[in-house]
Amino acid sequence: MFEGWPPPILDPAGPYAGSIATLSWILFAMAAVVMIVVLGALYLALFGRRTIQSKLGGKTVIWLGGVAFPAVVLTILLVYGLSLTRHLSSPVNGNELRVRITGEMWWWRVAYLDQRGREVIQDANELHIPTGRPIVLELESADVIHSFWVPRLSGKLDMIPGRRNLMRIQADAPGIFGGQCAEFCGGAHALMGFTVIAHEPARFARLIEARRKREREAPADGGTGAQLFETAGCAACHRIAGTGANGLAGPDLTYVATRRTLGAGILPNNRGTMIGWIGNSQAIKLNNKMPPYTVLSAEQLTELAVYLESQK
Amino acid sequence: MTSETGFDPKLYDRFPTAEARSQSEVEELERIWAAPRGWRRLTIVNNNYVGLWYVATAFLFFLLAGVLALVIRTQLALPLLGVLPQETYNQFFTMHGTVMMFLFAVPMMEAIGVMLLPQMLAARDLPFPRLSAYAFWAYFVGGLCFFCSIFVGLAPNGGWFMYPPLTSTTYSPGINADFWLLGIGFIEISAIAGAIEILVGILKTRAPGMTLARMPLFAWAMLVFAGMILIAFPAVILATLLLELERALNWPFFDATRGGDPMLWQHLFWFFGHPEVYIIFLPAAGLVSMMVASLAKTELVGYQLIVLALLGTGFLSFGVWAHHMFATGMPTLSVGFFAAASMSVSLPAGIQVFSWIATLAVGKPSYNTPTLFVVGGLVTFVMGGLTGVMVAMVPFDWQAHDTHFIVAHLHYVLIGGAVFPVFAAFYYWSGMASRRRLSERMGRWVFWLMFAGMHITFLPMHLTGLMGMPRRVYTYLPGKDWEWTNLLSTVGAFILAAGILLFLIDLARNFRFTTENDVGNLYGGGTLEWLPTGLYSTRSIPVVKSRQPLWDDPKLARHVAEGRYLLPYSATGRRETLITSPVRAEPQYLQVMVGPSVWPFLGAVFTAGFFLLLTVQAYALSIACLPLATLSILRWLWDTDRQVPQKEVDVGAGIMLPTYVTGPRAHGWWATICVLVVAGMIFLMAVFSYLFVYGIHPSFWTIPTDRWWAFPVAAGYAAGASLTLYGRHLMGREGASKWSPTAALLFASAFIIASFATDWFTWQAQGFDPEVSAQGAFAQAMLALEGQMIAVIVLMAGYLAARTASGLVTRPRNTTFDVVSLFLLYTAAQGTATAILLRFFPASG
Amino acid sequence: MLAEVSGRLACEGRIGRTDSLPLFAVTGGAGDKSACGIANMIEGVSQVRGRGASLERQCGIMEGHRFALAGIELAGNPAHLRMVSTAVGKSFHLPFEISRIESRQARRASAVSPAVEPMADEAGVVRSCPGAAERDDPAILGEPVKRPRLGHGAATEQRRADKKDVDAHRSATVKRGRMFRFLALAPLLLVVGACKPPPDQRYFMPMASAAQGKAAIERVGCGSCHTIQGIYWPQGKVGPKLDGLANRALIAGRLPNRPDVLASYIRNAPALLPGSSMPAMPVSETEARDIAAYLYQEGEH
Repeated sequence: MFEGWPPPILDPAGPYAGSIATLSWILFAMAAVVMIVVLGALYLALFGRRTIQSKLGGKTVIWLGGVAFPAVVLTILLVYGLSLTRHLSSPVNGNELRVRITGEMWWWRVAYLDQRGREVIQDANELHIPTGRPIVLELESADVIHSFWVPRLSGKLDMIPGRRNLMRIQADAPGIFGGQCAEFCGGAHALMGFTVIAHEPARFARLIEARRKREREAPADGGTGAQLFETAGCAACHRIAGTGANGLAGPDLTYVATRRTLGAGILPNNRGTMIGWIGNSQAIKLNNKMPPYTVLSAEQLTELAVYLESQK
Repeated sequence: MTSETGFDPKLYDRFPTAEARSQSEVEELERIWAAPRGWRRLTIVNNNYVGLWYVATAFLFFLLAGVLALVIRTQLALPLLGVLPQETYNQFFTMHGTVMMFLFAVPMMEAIGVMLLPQMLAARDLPFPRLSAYAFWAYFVGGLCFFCSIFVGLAPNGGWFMYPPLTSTTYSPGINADFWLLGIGFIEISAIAGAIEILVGILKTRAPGMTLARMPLFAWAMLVFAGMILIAFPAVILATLLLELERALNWPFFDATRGGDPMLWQHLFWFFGHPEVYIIFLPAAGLVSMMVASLAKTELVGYQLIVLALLGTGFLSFGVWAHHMFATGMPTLSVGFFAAASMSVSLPAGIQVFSWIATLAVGKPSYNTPTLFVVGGLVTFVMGGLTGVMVAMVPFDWQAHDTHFIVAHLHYVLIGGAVFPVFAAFYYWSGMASRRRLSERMGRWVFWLMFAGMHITFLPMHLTGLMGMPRRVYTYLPGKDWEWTNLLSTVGAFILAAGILLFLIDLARNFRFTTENDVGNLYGGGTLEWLPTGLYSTRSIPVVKSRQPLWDDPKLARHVAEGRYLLPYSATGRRETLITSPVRAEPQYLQVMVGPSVWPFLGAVFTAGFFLLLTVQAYALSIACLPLATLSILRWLWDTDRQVPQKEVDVGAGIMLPTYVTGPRAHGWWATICVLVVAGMIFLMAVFSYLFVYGIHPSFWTIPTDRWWAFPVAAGYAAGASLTLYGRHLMGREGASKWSPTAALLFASAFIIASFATDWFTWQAQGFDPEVSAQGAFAQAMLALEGQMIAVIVLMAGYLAARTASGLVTRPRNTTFDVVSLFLLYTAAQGTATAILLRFFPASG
Repeated sequence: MLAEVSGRLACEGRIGRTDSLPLFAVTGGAGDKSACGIANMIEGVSQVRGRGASLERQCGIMEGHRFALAGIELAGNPAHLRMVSTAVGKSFHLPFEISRIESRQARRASAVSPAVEPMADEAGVVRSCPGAAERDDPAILGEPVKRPRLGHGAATEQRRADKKDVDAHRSATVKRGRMFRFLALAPLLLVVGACKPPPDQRYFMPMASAAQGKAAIERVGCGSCHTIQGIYWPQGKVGPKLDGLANRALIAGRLPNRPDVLASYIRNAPALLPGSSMPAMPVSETEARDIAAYLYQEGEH
């Protein structure tokens, strides 16, 4: 139809977003009907024939158009909307896959939970889910209020300090779904993106299994890049499982090479962006919490990038 | 026909009187009401001037915030533009929202009220002219200084709803947020002052015979508006107070790590914030209702229904605040309640829309600028209302919330519901204040440019939102398909701006301010503001027999100008107006008014100085401003509440009215009650906050140990209250000495102060550190609220003593005495409630 | 007001360039894009570069640019009014390109100095181009996943995967063409136009494709360190801005500014210039040449 059609809200990829998309169409239809009625009445009032005008000019019209008509329409909508609300926010069973997503200024901490609620796999800015089953997201915040929103999978839900909000998402088919922080959270709010990747269940199971394994084992020696990672100060804020790097202030980099994006959904992940981000991320995403590393030489940057490109 | 006050309605039949009146009476009125010239203009308190300044200032802020919007739109025209860097953009959009809501919309409605209401009600002026002047100057000085923060890069940057913890010192260490909190807190005080003025003005200064059922709809709307301000603004005053305390003293009201809750801010803010939207819409709807009738040259269809709708909107709007918080994970049950309430608000709106349509159908509307703006506003508002219904559907809101869809929705509602009506009103009522009429031809251009620009800007913005663009982003990445809708919106914004620019040109060419030789009734309105007026309003105050008196009695204007109605002269030789009863508008007494004074101006400047210097952390200067502001205000009050030698005067046709009354008949009593309502609402909100935070994080709370101190404290307050009542009794008793009632009140104050001191010190002894837990912080804050009242009591006691010494506290009745005793009673009650709440809640661990 | 604000910001050093006024950047970019697109079209017609690009398609692109150029160049710069008065809608590239193709001029192999050729390995760049698909995916899966665009773009991208037969640059050009057709309709946005002289002969690299150079720049992410004309995101500030490259005497202040040197420098800067703060980039020889061509073409001011 045109660039950007259908918009993601009307192009759902799962049942939760799907029912909202249906609701949206119903609401658009309602709005169109009401608009036609009002505009029609207004047109007749201004330009209609005298007989029609005299019919329009009475309290009956006010009662019919202003009270009865909206009351009926709104009651129907309300009943439908509330039942949908109940359905969408019905309690979780407890055996769904759970992922804890914590909003940080201005990125997302992701932790896959086991059945007992322990964090078993750490990641950031990217969420892998299996298709065809609901996933429960535990939304938390580490600093200010953020809002988690992947429009093609579900509506948004705020991440509020001191609270834990539960949200369910589900994708019907494999795909990549973009999202973005929706609640103004200061400086770089505009550049706080997120990616959800849905896999076939079997693939997803393999991925999780591989990552569990990776969490348990130390990786092969990373060479000079690994040393540099620790000596240059990266390790103070970033974690790479099984190595000496265990900082928690910044995104976990254990699987950074597998990510589609850098800088929380804003840059493609490649050699140049990796080096550029390390060298001076402030020039790309102003005010983010990572300091510029302009002291590193070209060789050092390359070594770091090569090392990080092996983290998968 | 029954009477409200015992006034005999048959007396109305004496008007219009037959005998001719002398011209010297008019000259005397002109002399009494003449406005000072030159530098002394600053002392003007008359509503014709203050109202126009007020409108002009509000319009200036509309333009300033509009310029911000243009820059914002330029920045968003294409992805990754660099017009506004991140931080500046964040300041710009925060200021755009804040200025439009707090410095344009609400003040504009108040300004139009100040300007039109006295004329519409045929009062000589509003009942507290100096309060209007104070409210205006406070707004003017405070607003301009607040706006200037953007020129030095210190403007608030946390969004117009300033959600903590983003706005706490941890994440906003600069003074930007303090500018918002103190600046806006201060401007809210000005808004409340204006609201009290308007509320009392509408209830007490209507022309005789203008019963509530004959009141112009704008007055009805302003009545609801003022009532809503009194109830809604305290919530945000408390919220700003708490957040400022958190920032300044590290008291954790909103800090989840110490038992506070960031959601509390949202509840308090939106308890104000949503009624705020209707606070803006209702007066505009009132204006439209009046204009529609005049433009269609017919009585409005469904007057009672509209009144019902206004009241219904006012009532329902307090039940919908949480629909701004659907995405915060509220329980399903409360979500359902708020969704239902939000939808039901559209019923009153529907009533108004259809009664305007019905009126247009009955009458013969002509094609002119106000009609265009009214019809255009109606269409736009309906569209905004429909998207409003959409987002009241909770699941849809989960998608649309905080996206550009909402930005589009709110601009549709506010521009359609308030801006277009205000422009219509500019054209419709410009005849009252200008020697020349505004250009009709240009007016149509203005309308079409604004209308087209508005829709080009905001219609595609719905789609931008659906395509996933969140609001408040300073830029966006290419490749998201948001480019073309954004570019379209930017183009539309400039078209809209072109329309407004054209309007400014029209104003510059044709608007010539005058209070006497105005062009008058351009569109054939039938209400009292179209009577011939001077600075003293109408020469005589007509008796109103219908809703459109000018249509029903073609001779009315002539008779009024000839002085054939009430008060065709100055009965006491001073500024005065007729005070009537609230429901049936029966004449009750003649209010003698104070004239021009520099003290409201100085009071406003010093109050603004106090708040703004506090913001920039110039503490010494700021503290120095406080006594100056207090002294200025007391000095202005000193002139008020004076009795004149004539106890009763003839207001025309032999009707004798007293010149001084007290108690519920007096306008001062009503204003005091309004102030106490505001204080009470602040306290209620504090109690709500206290209980709310306890409910969220009970584990942070401990039970106070020595609870029994509540009883002596309460007893002390009770003693104070009893003494106050005894003082009131002494006042009315024959033979008591000059000082005895005052002394009783002074002793009462002493008791109350002592109780508060006991409460304070015994609470401190319990060791609840306000920096450690929310409980400690809230307890301290509630004590501080009470302490604020105590400070007022101290001032009042001193003021009362001084007036007694000067012999101004007249027996057997005195308004100042009344006011002080009401404050004492209220403070005692609030103090008792505070002491009991703090010590007996939580009741058990 | 706008000027005032941006002026103020510039004074405060809040925005680096005073010319970062959006309108300027946009229209400047438009001129570049259009010219680039037309040049590309001509190459496409003569050599059928790119997959499935038909003649009609190319003409469509041309049409698209004509509007933009007409609007922008006419409104933008009075000099253009004179220069393009007869042939509105034609870029200055056009006569040059056409004459070259028509004369079937032999394509000169670009002389990359063999001395600076094989250094990639030393700098730790084993593969000349780490496979995008390979790194894209969790290694254990080995499933090829297309590299997405960002945020919601990712979503749209996937849905449009089937439309992806036109190469990335062309679709971008078409898109921008559309956008600028719209821009031309909005004269109030056309404040400043870009003036674009014909390219300098020294840097003419017929074997290289600036369009593919742009794609390579986007793929390896040069923009995260350099602000490059025509690359809108990201615009890093670690390295120098790369506009005006054609007019510079030296590369990195030390090397002669020649196409071959530039291409080698792009591939392995530390090898040519030990101590250079620019790392070696994982691009092939051809890609490096394409990138050089793009930089010369875009940066000639």
